[in-house]
Amino acid sequence: MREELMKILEELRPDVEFEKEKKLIDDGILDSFDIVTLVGDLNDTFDIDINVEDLQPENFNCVDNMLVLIEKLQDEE
Amino acid sequence: MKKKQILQFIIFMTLGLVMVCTLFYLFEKNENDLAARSWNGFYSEEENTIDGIIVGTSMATWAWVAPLAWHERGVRLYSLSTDEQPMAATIGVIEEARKTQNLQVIIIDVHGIRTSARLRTVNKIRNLTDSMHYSINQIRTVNRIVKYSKDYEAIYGDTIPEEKRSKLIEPSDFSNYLGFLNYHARWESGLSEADFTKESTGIKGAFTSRKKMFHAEKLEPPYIPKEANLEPLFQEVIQEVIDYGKENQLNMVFVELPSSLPEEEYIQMNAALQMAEDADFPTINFNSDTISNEISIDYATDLYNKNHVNSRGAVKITSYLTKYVCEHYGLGNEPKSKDSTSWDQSWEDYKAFFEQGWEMPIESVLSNLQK
Amino acid sequence: MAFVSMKFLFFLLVVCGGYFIMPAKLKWVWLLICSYTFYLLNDARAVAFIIFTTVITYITGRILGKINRNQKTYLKENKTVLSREEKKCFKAKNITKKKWTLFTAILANLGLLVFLKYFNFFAGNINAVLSNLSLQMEVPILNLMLPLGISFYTLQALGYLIDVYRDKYEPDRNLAKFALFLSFFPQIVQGPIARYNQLAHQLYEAHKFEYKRVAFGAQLILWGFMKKLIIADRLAPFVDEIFNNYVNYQGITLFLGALAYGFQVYTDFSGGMDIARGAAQILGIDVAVNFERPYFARSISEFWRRWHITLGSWMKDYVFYPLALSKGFNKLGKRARNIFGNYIGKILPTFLSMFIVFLLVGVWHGSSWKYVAYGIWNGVFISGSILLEPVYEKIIAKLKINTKCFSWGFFQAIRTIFLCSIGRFFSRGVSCMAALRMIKHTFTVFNPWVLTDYSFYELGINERNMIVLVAMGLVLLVVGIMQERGIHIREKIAEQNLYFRWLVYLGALAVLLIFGVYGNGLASTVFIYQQF
Repeated sequence: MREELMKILEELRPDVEFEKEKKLIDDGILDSFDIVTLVGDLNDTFDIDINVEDLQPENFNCVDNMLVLIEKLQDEE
Repeated sequence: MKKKQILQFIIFMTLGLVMVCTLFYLFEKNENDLAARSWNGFYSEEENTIDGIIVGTSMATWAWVAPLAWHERGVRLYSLSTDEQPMAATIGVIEEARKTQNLQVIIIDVHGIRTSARLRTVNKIRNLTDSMHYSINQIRTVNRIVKYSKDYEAIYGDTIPEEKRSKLIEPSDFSNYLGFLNYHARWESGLSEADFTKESTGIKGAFTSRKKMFHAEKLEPPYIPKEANLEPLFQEVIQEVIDYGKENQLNMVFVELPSSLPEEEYIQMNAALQMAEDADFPTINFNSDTISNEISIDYATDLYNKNHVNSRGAVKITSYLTKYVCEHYGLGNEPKSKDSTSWDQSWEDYKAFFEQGWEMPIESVLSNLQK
Repeated sequence: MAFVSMKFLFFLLVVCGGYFIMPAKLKWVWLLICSYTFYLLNDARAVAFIIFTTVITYITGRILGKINRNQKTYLKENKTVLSREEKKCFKAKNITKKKWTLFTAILANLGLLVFLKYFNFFAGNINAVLSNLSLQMEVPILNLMLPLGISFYTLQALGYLIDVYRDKYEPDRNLAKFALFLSFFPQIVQGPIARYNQLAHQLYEAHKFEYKRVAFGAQLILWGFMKKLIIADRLAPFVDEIFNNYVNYQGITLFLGALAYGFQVYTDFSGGMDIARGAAQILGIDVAVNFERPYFARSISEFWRRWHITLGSWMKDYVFYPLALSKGFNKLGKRARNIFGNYIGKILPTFLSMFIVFLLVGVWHGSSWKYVAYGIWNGVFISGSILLEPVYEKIIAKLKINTKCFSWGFFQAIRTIFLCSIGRFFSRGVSCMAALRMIKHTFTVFNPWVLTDYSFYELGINERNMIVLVAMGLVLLVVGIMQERGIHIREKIAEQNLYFRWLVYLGALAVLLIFGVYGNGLASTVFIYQQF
């Protein structure tokens, strides 16, 4: 799952080093467009339903947190 | 808060206060202004050396030659008058003068009560109040004028023409009390030396405009009607002054300086003079035949315009009034022990001014008076 | 009372003095009393409206909170008993309940705002159409007032409700405390639009007097006064002359007017923000920043992330994301993918949502076609830049432009200021037609000599005042550059020697007293955003 996620992220923003960054949202590295596009891609790829309530900065600040979110939403299905 | 912080804070606030007061001091009404310099001169006089004051509009400023009063009879009498000074300001002016001087006589010109001089525009009032030092009396004077303006507007508001409306004094304008709020904008036009030194005129407030003081408009003596009528609001103002004089046992003399105005104006001034007489204050009407003959006022040569005398007229009036106050109030008898150099100098300066303008010795005008 | 006035300073003195004397438990009560006093002093007739919004929002919040709590406890207790289907059904029912509750509250609050603000606009337009069709009917134009701060506190209330709906936090359990949250006086006039979880607890906590913090607050207030009185009000006569008499001017003169207005509204609005933040800081409360050097922005998108930040942020969380991530837009995106291809399909939800957001931002500013145009202008630019991003990248690559160097960044900033200035024609123009005409005349007439013949010195700012403007502008620029680098100015000054510090503070005060535009008919112009 991690590989798929990394592929999506790198295609979205090839200029960002996702492995290193821990504050993607707080530091404004990913902007609102990136988020919306990313959410669409994640929904499609992992067959989950990320909605607005899930858009907390913590959930997207780093790759590990994103994986936690995806797993949680998959469980709920 | 630690002790050190409290101390620092107090020192900081003190410094701030000093800075702000300095700014207030510097950014006042333009100190090159005649009214300002005249008042500065008054404030700089030693305590209890001034014998009296004359209070009125610019008529009084032009008509009074303080150096002459000094030269002839050793009388020190100051003019505390500004352009279109409202009668409502008179008490404030007298109060201010009495703070530092023991006044023997107060001469009040009643031209300030007539119709055309009643509408007080901001600039004219500020001429006076901005020249006064900051004090409770200054605040009270502004308040009195504002109250009067409000009363005036309540009754006569509809008759005020459009162009003048915007120039009326605004009661809620705090800058009436603290001139800095307006005058800080003088950074643009610049501050001159006078703003720092607050100089006074050297000439004890005498009006020395070369253009105006030697010009004579050929006028006719006015027709003084018998009627005397004054609207209630203005009666109140005069009565206030009279009551103030009585309460404080002041020697007030109400005068009507020479002018050549329409009939209606004299009806009002007659009433004002009558009120003073009824209160047992002496009055002198320079427009009446008796007096104008006595000092040979020639309306064709002694008036600059219908409203003001020129220096010839001024000399005649000053001489007469000086003699009057000496005879009636015993002035001029004191030995000249107090420092009189500035007064002597002012006489020399005025004499030079007068003789240069008329190209005749001032004595020739004076000697004609001693008929 | 205006922020920039002796009255407000005196009011603030009383508020702060009282605050520090009050016992801890009552401090927030004092703030509530002061906030409502402030409201009554400014707009007594309209206080019923804010009370209405407060009560409706509070009750709705409690209801939503209750539903959330009940759901949690029910699911927890019956974790093992219920099937997955039953759980889903239960959740769905609750969501419907919550949706209807929220919808009612939004209708009440937003409806009130829309009615008061836009009824006459709609009525006027309908009447225009009716008269064109020669129909005798007419919608009456009502004598409506716009309560103080309604555009701000309504959004603040709605944000709170939506957050409670999303179960982000528990609703407030105290009506009086909640009333303080909506009416807190430094924010009521022109924002910022606060978030409940950021502001509320600060208001209710007791803050002690702390010398350094209070001094910082006072310095910030002084800075706000300086921006407003030295720059904004000095530009006002020039801007007014150009915009109110636009038919007399053309070409670059018009553009200078728009540019000047941009600086005027920035110093005016951000100055007011500084005063609000400074006042709150004295009381120990951190109010959100609303401006971050917007004129350093390199694109219009970035501009709106630096200008009126809380409005943009509010729109992002409560309009943009809900729209862009909604099922409806998702479907739209999928359909578009089939027709227009992958790229367009992907960005369509974003594109549309962004456009709607900026349309709303434009219209939020006021009820006039010019604000609609303003919204469309910004929307087109930002959506356009999303659409054209790959095209831009290709061009930059082809021209071998170095995007990391200072000169490119500088070019981008200048370009942004230029584009923003055109937008200003709409926000300051007296009408939509006037704005369009001004824009047309700016670009169809070429008169560069206007800059060199000094004729603009006759239009409200003479040479001496221009010098003051430029000098203060440079100070602003230097401060801005330092802040971009992360330097906290007040801290920096506080670190210096005592004499230097005092020189700076007293010097600033002297500059404000001497060069500020006040007194003598030059009364500080009412805050531009106050009418919202």
